[in-house]
Amino acid sequence: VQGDHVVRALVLTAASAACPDCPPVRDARALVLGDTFWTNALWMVLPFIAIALVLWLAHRIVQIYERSTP
Amino acid sequence: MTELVRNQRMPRMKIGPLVSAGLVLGVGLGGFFDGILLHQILQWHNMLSSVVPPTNLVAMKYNMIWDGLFHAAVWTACGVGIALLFRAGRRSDAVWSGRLLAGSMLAGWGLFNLVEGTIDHFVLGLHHVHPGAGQFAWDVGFVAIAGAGFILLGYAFARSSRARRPKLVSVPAPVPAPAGRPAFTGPRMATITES
Repeated sequence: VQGDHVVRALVLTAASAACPDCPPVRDARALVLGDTFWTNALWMVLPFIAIALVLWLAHRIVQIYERSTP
Repeated sequence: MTELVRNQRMPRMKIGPLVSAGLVLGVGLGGFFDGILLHQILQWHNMLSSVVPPTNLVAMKYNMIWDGLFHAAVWTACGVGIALLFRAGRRSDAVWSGRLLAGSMLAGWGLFNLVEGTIDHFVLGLHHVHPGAGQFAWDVGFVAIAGAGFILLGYAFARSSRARRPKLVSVPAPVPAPAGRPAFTGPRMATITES
């Protein structure tokens, strides 16, 4: 039984690794590109937007400091 | 031939260009570290594993696609960081120090962990560092150690390089042009001595 699980896992791995257009991939792609795509995309980039904002603010502060010191 | 100009202060050197490049590179490489180690090698979580738990093949592939988009974002950050580093390298008024760059990169990595950890783990709940029992402790530890801790460590490391900033400079006198050839008008070689 243990060996059977291993064989099934290997078959599953092989199937998932080598099917660029099989039903699970099409389902996953449809799910990604579904209604929640833009919400998820916004969530994903939100930390990067926040980091860019933090770095831009830090850059401005350094610029102001450098200009104010002789 | 060489005329030494002693006790002359360097023109005001800027740390900003190298620090900016280091921070952005740290964000990008830190993101790659997270994606490669925690998403792929250890498989503790995926980008949206708390929204769509990867319990079947379709859900796994769904998370794999979002992991790919996440990697595309951190790849972009690395590209921007390399461009900033290249630009800093071409500036004559930019400090060029490995310690400052390494410290900035570590701080950038910490900044990524702090912001990503706070937004994705606590605010949006897209995924957790190590889901299951004690996931809150893992999330807090990640933000505290790999976030704030790395920022402080990077800052300390970068600051230690400031003591090595050059104060004296010896500038070789311009080399006279050979007969019949135009004088060299490009940047002059400068030997920087540390105090």
